Amino acid sequence: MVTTREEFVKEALKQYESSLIGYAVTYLHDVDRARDVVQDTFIRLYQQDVEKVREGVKAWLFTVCRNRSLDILRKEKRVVALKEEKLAQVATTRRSPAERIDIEERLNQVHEGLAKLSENQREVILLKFEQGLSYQEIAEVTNLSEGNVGFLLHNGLKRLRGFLPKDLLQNLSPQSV
Amino acid sequence: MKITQNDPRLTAYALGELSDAESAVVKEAIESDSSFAAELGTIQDLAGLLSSSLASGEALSLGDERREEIFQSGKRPDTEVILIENRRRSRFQSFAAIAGVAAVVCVGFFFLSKLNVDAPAGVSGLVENDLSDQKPASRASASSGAPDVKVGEGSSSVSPEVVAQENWKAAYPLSDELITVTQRTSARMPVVGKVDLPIFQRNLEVGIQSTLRIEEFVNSPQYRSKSQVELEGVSVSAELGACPWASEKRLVMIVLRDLKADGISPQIDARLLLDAPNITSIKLVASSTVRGNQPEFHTLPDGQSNALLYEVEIEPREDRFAAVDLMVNDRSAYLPIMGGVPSESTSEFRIAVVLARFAKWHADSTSENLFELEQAARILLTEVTEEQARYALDLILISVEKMKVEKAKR
Repeated sequence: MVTTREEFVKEALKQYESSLIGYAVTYLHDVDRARDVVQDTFIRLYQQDVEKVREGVKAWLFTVCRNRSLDILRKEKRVVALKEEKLAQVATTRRSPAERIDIEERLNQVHEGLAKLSENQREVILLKFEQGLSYQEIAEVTNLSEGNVGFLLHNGLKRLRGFLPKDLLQNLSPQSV
Repeated sequence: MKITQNDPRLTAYALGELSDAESAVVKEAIESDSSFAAELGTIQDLAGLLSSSLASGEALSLGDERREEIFQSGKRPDTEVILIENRRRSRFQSFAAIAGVAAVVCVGFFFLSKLNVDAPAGVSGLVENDLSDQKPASRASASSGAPDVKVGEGSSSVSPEVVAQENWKAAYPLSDELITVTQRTSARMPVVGKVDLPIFQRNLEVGIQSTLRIEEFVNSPQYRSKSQVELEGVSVSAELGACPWASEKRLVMIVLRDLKADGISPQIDARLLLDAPNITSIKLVASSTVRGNQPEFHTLPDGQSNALLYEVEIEPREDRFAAVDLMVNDRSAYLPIMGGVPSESTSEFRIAVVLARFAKWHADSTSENLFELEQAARILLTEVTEEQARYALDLILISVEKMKVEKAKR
């Protein structure tokens, strides 16, 4: 059990630093600005009562990170929705070169499909599969009910299936990655 | 309850998101109907594909410097208090300091008399005969080739003095125990640009006070405080007033503002200098413009303002206790801040204070009385015309209305 505030934040950094930066990049399209947001998020964490946030620290971090990113976008009057090519670009920059070569085509297809979804469907799918958040955590981050999250995910996945090439699921099971 | 192939619970089951009881229902359906099993397999394949495709492969890092800043920030507690141990000075040291200051003041006034600069209000009595007929400091700027510095009227408590060169600074010296405030904060003035009222109201209805962060929905109003110093189109003003939540303390609002609105955000270097012997503690309560996690002292949005609100505990006398040191385009201006509290505060100051109290209420509803804030907001709304400030104040009224509705429901 982590005892001190500093240890608590260090542990959170270790666990969520990378995924939070990746998450912020999906909003801001800029790794440096994403780092600014994530740094700010952890500074806020440092100022919290550890006991109050310890239980739900993951959802707390993603919530703050999301809000900070949206705040920046709002102020810049930028469109929140990611463009298709941006999505692909963002994801590929976070792959090692070897992986990038192998999965680029598939990734492009997935992102093409994601780009056709509604904004909230895409958001819950990314939070679930990119960031590994539970329904409850996604609900906390997005201010939606858990039922709503489940509904969005279900319908989003169903629609996504329709957008993906038929052979993609057959040829690329998780084990083949 | 019977499930269909289009039931979200099927997806939730595939993702391991159901309770044991719900899982049992879905499991039974799958075992009794092969089409459910096929659908489940498809969902699992897609889930696997997405997880493997989207999950980050390459670790992204903040880097050592940013990490260090996080922990540095954390080491300074949220209160951002600087305690100044100034009482250890020996009598001799105090005497020496006073003598030194007096000498510098004399030298300073000598320069001032040569430069035709007005006397500061706080010390005009000392040099009344010498300086009573002097012209405003802007004349001194012109005559000396000094920066384009102008002096406004300012508030009665903060002397509108300007010293634009090192020699002038000497005329209004702070002590030898000078502290430059560079503390960082994530505090942000909880104020409104264009608030998304439906989102805000939804949050209030849900009642998740701890997750409601006003600053996530708002931008900053523009504080049009009267200039006390102008330098290269950048205005500085400072105002001191009572601190509603701690009677022994004072609040100081410093407003930096770009007066030009010419499409260029001015690059500035603004510092708050503190006079250690006169200050017991200081903390930054809020800043309307924050870059990263720190108040913005290096740039101003084009045509906009940055307001900083500090809580200070100062010695109970009217001496100067701090100064704003501003540099724009390699030119500098200097605004001393005096300790006397005016009988009446400006509406800008009162807006900032009410909004800061509103933020405190959101952070901890027991620390502030929302109904008192409602009264203060109503009064301010009768005199404030600036749209963004009105939005900010409206939020308080909306909050109170929501609370009343919820109370009535209960």
